[in-house]
Amino acid sequence: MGKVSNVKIGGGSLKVGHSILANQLKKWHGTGTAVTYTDLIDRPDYYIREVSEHFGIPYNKNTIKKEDYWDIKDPKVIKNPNEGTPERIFVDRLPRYPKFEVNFDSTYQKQFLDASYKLSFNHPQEGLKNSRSLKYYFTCEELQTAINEDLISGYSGYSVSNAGDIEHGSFGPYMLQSNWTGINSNPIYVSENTSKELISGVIDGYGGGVNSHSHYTLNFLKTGSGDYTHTYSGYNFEPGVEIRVETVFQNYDISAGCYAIDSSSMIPTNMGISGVDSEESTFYNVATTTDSAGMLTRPAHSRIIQWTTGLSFVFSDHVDPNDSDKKLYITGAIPKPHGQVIFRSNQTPWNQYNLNLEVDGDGANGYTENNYWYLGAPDGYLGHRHFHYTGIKITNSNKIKGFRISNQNSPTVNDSLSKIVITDCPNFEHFRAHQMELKAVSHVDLSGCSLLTQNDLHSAHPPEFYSSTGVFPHNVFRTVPDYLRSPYYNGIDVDEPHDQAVPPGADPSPINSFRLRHVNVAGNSLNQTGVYFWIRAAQISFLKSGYLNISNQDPRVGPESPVFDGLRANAYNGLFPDINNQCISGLEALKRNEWTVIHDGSFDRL
Amino acid sequence: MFYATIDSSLYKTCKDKDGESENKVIITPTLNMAQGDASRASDGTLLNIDTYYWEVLKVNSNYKNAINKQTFATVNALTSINQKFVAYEVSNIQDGEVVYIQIACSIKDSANPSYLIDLDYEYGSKVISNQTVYRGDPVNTAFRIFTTKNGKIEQENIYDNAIERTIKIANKADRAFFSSIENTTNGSKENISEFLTRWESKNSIGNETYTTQNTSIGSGGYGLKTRGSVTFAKDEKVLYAHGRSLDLDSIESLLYQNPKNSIPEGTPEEADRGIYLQAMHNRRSQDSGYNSFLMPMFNPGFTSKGIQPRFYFPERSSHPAGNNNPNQKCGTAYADVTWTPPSYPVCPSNKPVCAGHKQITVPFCVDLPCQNC
Repeated sequence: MGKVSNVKIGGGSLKVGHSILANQLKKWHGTGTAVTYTDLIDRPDYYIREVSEHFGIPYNKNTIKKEDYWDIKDPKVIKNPNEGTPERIFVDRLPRYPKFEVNFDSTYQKQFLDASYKLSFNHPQEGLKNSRSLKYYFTCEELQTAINEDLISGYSGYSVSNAGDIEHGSFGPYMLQSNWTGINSNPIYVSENTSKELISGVIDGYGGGVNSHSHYTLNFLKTGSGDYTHTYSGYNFEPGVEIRVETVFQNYDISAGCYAIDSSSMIPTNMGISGVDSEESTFYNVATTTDSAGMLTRPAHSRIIQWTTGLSFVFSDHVDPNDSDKKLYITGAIPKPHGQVIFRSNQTPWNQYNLNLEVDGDGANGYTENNYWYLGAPDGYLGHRHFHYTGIKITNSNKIKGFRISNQNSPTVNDSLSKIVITDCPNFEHFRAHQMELKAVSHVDLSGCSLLTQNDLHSAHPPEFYSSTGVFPHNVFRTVPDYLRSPYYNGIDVDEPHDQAVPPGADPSPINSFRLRHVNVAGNSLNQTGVYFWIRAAQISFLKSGYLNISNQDPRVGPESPVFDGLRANAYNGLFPDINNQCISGLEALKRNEWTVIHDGSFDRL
Repeated sequence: MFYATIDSSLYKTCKDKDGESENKVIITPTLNMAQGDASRASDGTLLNIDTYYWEVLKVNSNYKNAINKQTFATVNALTSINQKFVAYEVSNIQDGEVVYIQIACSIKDSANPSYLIDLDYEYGSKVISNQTVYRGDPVNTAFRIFTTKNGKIEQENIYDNAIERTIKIANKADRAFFSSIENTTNGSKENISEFLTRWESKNSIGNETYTTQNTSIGSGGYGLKTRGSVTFAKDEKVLYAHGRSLDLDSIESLLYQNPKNSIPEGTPEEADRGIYLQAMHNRRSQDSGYNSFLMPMFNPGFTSKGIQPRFYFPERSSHPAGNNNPNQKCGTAYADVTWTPPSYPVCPSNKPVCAGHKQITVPFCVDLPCQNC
C-alpha cells in the first residue's frame, strides 16, 4: 500500500483511479499469475520488487526514476519475447546530477610550450647570427619572419612551410627551401634548445646541387620520457553504484607531426571500477601514464560511465498497450547491466588547458617585443593562432595600448579565455571585444588604465546611434589602428582594417559572455558610453553575486562625461538620455541580482 | 609497437631571381620510425631497421588526360635510394600543374628479416606516402565526355572536382588516395574497348551493373550524377561559392545571391547569411606557410564526394570506322553512363528537375587483336 503514492506520481494521466483500486488487492504469485498491461503500469514498483525477489535477481532500485516506468507505454519498448529479445520495462537513469573533474598532468604540454630554441646562421658578410627565441609552437609565418629578420632574407634566404598535413602547422616539422640554387655548405642550424632533455630541434636535408635548391626539414624530437599523474574525482554520485572512468590517450609523434600513426595508437585506459563511497557519494582516482622518447602520450578525451543494473521481464506474449486487459504471464527476468555515460570531457588539445600568460612591467620579463612579438607586443595583444590561453595577465606596462583579437585568432580565444587582467598600464586605451569573441570570459580586470569605452563606439557616431528605439544600425565600421592588426597571413591580407562596431542583429557590442562574474574598470577614463557598455556586459551575464567596479573615472567635460542625473522624464527625446537611463536602471538591476557594484561620482547621487 | 610513417607533404616550386616560379622542386620525404623501446615487434623483439629501399610508385597530374594539356613531369632521385634519407627532384612542372607522386620506402631489419612482414601493418614493410607538388596557381582542368543525342555522338567538357579539394585529399596522407585518383579523369580514361572488356568481365560474374541515373538536368553548368557517386560541373565556377578569390567584395556577394542557385535543382533559394559567415570563416582559416595555397570556399550546393569510383568514358576509335576494316569490330553497345543534355529527356512536368533513368546505345568500333603481328 505504501507504494500507491509513488504510482500516482507518474500515473496522473492514465486511467489511474479505477486501476489502482482494482489492483491493490491483486497479488503476483509467480509465473502462473496472469497480469495485464494495466497492472504493470499501475504498480511498477510492486512488480519489479516481486519479480526480482522471485527470480533472485538484484537491481539498483535507487537509480530508477519513476517517470521511466512509463516507457512501458511505448510498444517499441516491450517486444514479444518469442521474437528473442525481451526488453526492459524501464530504463535506468540517474536522479542526481553528478559532478566530475579530471586534471591531466599539465607538464605534458608545459614542457614543450615553455621551451624554446634558436636558429643560427653563419652569414658570409655579417658573421654568426642568432635568431630570437622561438617557440616550438610557432606558425610558419612566424618562423619565416624570424629567419628573414634575424638571419637572412631575400633570394639568399629560405621559404618556410609545413611538412606533412598543412592544416596542422604547429610543432612542425617545417620545410626550409632555399630560394637559390647551388650547393649549400652553410645551412641554417639549430643552436639552442632550452629544454633539450625533453625536446630538441634538428635540421637535416638535401644540400642542393649545381642547379638544385637545397631543401631542409626542421624536426623536433622528443628526447625525454616521463611519468605523469592524472587525477579524477567526482561527487554527488548515487551511493553504491559502480563508476568506470575511461580515458583515451593518444600518441603524438612530434617529429612526424601527426597525432596518430594508426588506430592502434589510441590507447583507451580504463581506470577500473570503483565503488562510490556510500556516505559521501564521492570518488577519487589517480592514473599514471608513461611516455617514451619520440612519442608524446597525451590524453585526448575522457568519460565517466555509471553502471547500474535494471530488470527486463520476459513475457509469455506480446505486450500490447492497445489491449490493456490482455492476459500475460511473466515467465522470467533478466538483469540488464546498463552503462550510462554521464560525463564526457572536452577534447583537451595539449595547447589548450591551464596555459596562462602572466607578465609584469617593461623589463626582461615584461610584455616586450623581444618576449612576445608573436602576440603583438609591445603595443597590443592580438591573440595567437595556436596558443589557447585561459588567462592573460599584463601589468605595469607602459607600452601596451590595446587589446583586440583578430578574426583569424579568435578560435583560440572563444572557448578558452576566461580571465583577462590588464592593470596599471597607463597607455592602454583600446579594448575591443565583439559579439562572437570572449564568450568564455568570466573575469575582466582593466583597472588603472586609460580606457574611454569598450569597442570604441562613442565618439565618431552621431548620437542617434544610441537611441532607445532598439534598432541600431548594422555594419558600423571602426578603423583599427595598425598596431592592433595582424594583417598578414599566408601571404594575404585576412585581417580587416575595420571592425564591425555594431554586429548585425545586435546592440552595440559589449562583451557578450554569460559567464562574466567579475568586472573591474576602476581608475580609467570612461565616458558615458563606456560606462554604459560595461554595465551592459555585466547585465548579459546569467550569474548572480557578481562584481562590477566602475569607480574613479577621470572626469571629463561634456556630454560624454560619466555624469548621470537620475532617470529623466524626457528620456526618449534627448541626445543621450537612453544611456543615462539604462545605466541607472542597469545598476539597479545588478544590485537586485546581488551584484556588488562600486561606483562614485554622479552615481552617488542616485 | 613498431611503426613507421612517411610524411605526405605539399610542395610549391621556388621562385627564381626574377620572382618567376621555377619548373622544378626538390622533395625530401621523411621516414619516421618508432624509437627506443617503442621499436619492438609484437613479440618484444627489438628491431633495428638497417635496410631501406625507396621507389616512386606512381606519378599523376591534373594535366593528365585533360583537354589541351599534357604532363611532362618527371621524378628523379638525387640521393641514394638505399638510405634512410632521400631527396627527389620533380622537374618539368608546368604553370598551374599539380603533380601527385606516390613514394614508398621498404624497410627491413636484416637480423630479423621476417618480422616486419608479419606485422599487422597496412602495407607490411612498405611505407607509402603521397607527395604533391604544384607550380603557380593550381588550375582546374576539364576533360571530355562523350554522349549521344538522338543517336548522334556529342561531347561535353566537364570538371569532376575542384583542384583544391583534390590537393587537400592528397595532402591528408590518405593511403588509398592513389588507388582512387586513377578513377578520376585525370588518373585514367577508358576507351570503349577497355570498358567493354571490363563490363563483360564484371557482368559474367554478375556483381556489377552499369546504370546511370540522371538526377538533375539543367542549363546552368550542372552535369549529372552517376549512381549517386560523382557530380560533374560544366562550368568551373559552379565548384565554388564565390569564386576563387578571397577578397571581401567577392565574399559579400553572398549576401545577395545563393551559390546553390548555380545548380538549377529545385526552387531558387534566397541568399543565406550562414553561407556568408562560412565564407568569412574560410577566409581567416587559411593554411600557413610558403607551400600552402588559397583555399576557396566550395559551393555548398555542389556535392562532390571527392575521389569516387571509376566509370565509363566512351571514346571513338582513331582508326577508320566501319565493318570494312578487318581489324575492327563495330557494333552497338549499351552505354550506361550517359550525359544527358538539359532538354533531354523531356520532363513530364516541364520542371527543371527530372529524375529518371535512361539507358541508351552507343555505336562503337573496337580494334581487334592483330593476329599476324
